[in-house]
Amino acid sequence: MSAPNIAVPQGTYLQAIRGPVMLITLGSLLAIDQLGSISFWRTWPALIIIFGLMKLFERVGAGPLTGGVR
Amino acid sequence: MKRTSLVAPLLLILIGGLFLMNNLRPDLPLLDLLGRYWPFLLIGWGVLRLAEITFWFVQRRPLPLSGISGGEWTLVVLITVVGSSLFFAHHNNWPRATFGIRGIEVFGETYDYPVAADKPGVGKAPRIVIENLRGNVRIVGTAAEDVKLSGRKVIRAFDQAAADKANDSTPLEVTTPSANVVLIRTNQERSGGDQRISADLELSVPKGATVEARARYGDFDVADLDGGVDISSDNAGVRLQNIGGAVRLDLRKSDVVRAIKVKGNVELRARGQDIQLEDVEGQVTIAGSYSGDLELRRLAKPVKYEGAYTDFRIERIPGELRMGISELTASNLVGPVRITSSRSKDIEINEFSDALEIAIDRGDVHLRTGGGTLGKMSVKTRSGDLELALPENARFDLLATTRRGHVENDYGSPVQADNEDNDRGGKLSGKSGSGPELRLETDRGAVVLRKWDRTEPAGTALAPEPPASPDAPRKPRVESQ
Repeated sequence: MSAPNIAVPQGTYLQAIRGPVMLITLGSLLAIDQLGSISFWRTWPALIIIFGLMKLFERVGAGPLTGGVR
Repeated sequence: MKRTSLVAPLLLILIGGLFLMNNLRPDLPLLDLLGRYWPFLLIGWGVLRLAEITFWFVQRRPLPLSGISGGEWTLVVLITVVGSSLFFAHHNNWPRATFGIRGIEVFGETYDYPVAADKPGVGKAPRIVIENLRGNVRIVGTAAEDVKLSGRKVIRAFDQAAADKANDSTPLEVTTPSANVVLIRTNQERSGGDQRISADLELSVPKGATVEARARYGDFDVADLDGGVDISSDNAGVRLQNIGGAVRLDLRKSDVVRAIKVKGNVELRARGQDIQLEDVEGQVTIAGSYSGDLELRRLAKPVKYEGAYTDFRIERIPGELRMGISELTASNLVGPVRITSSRSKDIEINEFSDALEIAIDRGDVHLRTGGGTLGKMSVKTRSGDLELALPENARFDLLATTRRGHVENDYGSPVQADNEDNDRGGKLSGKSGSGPELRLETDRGAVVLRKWDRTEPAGTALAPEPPASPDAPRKPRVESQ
């Protein structure tokens, strides 16, 4: 892909970090499962909660935290 | 400028490198490590990506709409599937090791090696610490001041050479790491996973010794010690006799725990089956979950039992108490007695004194007081019949009710019975002198009050079961797993 810079849709900082944060959460839950303390099948709702929190923060902090080229 | 993440390519390179390493150097346990720690790969990826985006944000460079693209999520799913199957393979030693152990069980043979050791002059009251991973241990206290050990090591292997090698790598050690401590190690953990080793040990130790044992699988038989016994094991049957000190047992699994004649406290925690305690002079605490029969006889101090569904606390048991999955029968208890159960339990108590409190979900309750003074009584069941036998001329303040069922008064005056029509409930009430409160309550069931004659010998109203004959001594456990 070599589209010019202007054509690429841009996200906010909070939007951009949602994926990595979800990934870290997922990894942590799986690690906890792996190390034998709490099964992933019991902790998975945490993923929904984190996702909801991220969405909530996006709403609340949309204005001031918009990153990138303004 | 294109906003392409560096993390995903790095990750691919890392995974590729790991598999390549695994192919080139199969001796390194890379796959095992990967199987165990792969979730940290995801965490690391997330952290790196987060750092990358934050860096872009600070630099005021354009940010992507989503930090992790659809394709990358596919990779995440792939890693999760591969990682968890690696973990499964590693964790369950499958398929390689399972084949190995099964193979040994089918094709291998057992090789016996005698073991023996002496440690003279260890004093009158040493601490004996045993680290025996697998195998049965038998300990007897003697008048001598030395530790004598004999027994055999059983190695299951494909051939004599492999067995010899395993034998050499797992020497039995008897050491005295500090004064008054004798450490016995079987070193079974040193052999590789491909042989199955167990050691059956017979120990004679000074009578004053204290025994401390950690084990994975095997029975313990301990007799004639003045010191305490402390055993923790993943799977053990324990039989104790004539123990002068405190007994502490922590067993993840256990088919039987039997302790006869213990002077100190007994503390038991297990997921087990049968328990038998007799003639214990100290306090008894039993916790865990048990699926077999519980038998308690002649316990001189308070007894506390906390099971999966049933709890009880009894001040003393001069007689006996037997409990199975669905019934509890006891005779000659000294209160306060408190029994609660969230499951179905039929309770029969013959002769008891002092306060009594019973709360069960369902089950019949049959009670016959002893000749001594009555204490406060509170008996509740959601569904079940209640029967209480009181002595002639007893003093009490009785109120017994059923919400669905009828009441029956065989006691006579001063108790009055009031029954609603069609078994829609009833009430027994009566007061004689300034006696203790007796409260009986069932939501569904009959309530019967009887009288027993003081001249009539105890136990005719409700004959207790004869005690079971003791089991024959068992053969040492043969491993099968």
